[in-house]
Amino acid sequence: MRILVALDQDMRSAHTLSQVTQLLVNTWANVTLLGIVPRKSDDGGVPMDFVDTMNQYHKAVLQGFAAEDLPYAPADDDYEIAEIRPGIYEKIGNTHGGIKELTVRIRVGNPTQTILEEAQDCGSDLIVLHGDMDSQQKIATKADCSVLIVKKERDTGRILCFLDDDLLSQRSLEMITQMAVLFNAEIEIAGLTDKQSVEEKIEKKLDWLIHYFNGKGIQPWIQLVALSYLEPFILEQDHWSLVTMWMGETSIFKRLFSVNKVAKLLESRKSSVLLLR
Amino acid sequence: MLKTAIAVDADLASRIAIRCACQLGRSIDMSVGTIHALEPGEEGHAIATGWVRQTWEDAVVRESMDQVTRLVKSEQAGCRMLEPPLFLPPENDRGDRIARHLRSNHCNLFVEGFLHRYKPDLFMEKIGSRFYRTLPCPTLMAQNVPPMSKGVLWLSQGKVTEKMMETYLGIFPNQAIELELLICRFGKNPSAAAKDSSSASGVEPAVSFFESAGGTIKNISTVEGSPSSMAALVRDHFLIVSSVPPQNSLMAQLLSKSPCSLLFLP
Repeated sequence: MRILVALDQDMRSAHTLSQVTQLLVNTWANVTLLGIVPRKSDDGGVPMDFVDTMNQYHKAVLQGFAAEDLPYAPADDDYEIAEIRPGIYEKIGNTHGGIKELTVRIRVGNPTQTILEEAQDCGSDLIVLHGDMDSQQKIATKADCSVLIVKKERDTGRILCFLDDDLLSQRSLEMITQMAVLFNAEIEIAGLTDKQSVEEKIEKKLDWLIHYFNGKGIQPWIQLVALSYLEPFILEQDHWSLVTMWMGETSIFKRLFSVNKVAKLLESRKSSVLLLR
Repeated sequence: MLKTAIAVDADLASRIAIRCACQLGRSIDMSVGTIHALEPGEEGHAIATGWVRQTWEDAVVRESMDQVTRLVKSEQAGCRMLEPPLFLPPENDRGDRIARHLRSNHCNLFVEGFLHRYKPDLFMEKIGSRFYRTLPCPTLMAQNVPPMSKGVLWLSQGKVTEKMMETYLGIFPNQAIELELLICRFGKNPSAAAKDSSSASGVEPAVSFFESAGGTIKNISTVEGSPSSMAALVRDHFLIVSSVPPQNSLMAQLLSKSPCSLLFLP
């Protein structure tokens, strides 16, 4: 798995990174820390304070691991930032000793465009960004891979997974399991229904999912939500750490997202959001 | 020994009911029987007359019985105490048929599955049915199977009778599960949090009775507000205990918001 973490100098980035670090400790995923600056500094390069921030982020990730478990190359104080392609900078330093890749990059430009380009370039399976980034809605809608929008920490550890009659991928289920560990949370599955035939399909899927999560030592909560009640359901309840939605080609959310209905609903929510593809 | 009967159909709700009952059975001395009340509808629409119709109807009923038997067998792997299904003949009111079975077999606990729904219509319909209005025995509406360590929350609007406590102790005699009591005062102005009410007058006799039987109530508190404002308090327990509230009442609205299994006491 490759994770792309989009970072800026907002305090939220540090919180997002601490969440991602726990995910990395569990998964040993390849990771790109992507810093985004809107424009170059007056000398035509990247602002030095931003380079320092990215270096701090890099160190923070490494410090999340026990020394003997570190899958990435250790941090090197002797590094340089090189422009590897126009507008794309990379931290060049010690790359030896890691069995997994940790890349630190800075891109100059529009956040939506740079994040989506970088996700394609590095073949990322998951984009992580914080919930105050202006571009979150566009990235969530346009990305080809899964997207995790991290909002502020919640007290209650419960993850809500919306389930419709779209196909579920093994990778997305594993990601939810990882999130349950990451947020130290219980899983609540809301099966979306609108007619009897769909309800029967959803019941079978719920049965399978209960079996799947039981196998992982997780006992999920389940409930059914009529599609026509989705909006009040989301608006009324705000107690989840994370809301996840499958965004397959035929999924309900894929259709709803095209009109930004659910995106707007979730924008105002305090829960983090994981869109699975 | 607690004599339990689970209503089983070939669906997910029934699996949840079985798992919930079996989870209880691991800490309580109980027998776990299964029943399936054949519905008149299972005989289907007539496709012909005479022996053709009879043969077709028999096949539909047999298929239904086979499905239920298979479901129970598949659950027996994780629950050895589960007994094979007993099929009750069709009757217009399924609830009446089950109630008669529970009474004649002196069952102490009835369990049926119900998938929790955000829209409360089906829940209201169920608790408004004749079966729930005249409960033949304590009835567990199994909606989810969280761990028993999440404890039991007893919901009341101010009065808990000794009879109810006695019935509860008949099910949980060994204090296997932690018990909390929440007194709900429904009104427009929600309080910030549940307040300690260990000396509330309406519950004192029942609490004394409970304690004299060797039980302890971990916490007694009161909360004021609307069902929506209280919803968070009924979300994370192994069981919620209550009497059957009137259909569409404020207590019914609160219970409809809980994804926990609900134990209704007569």
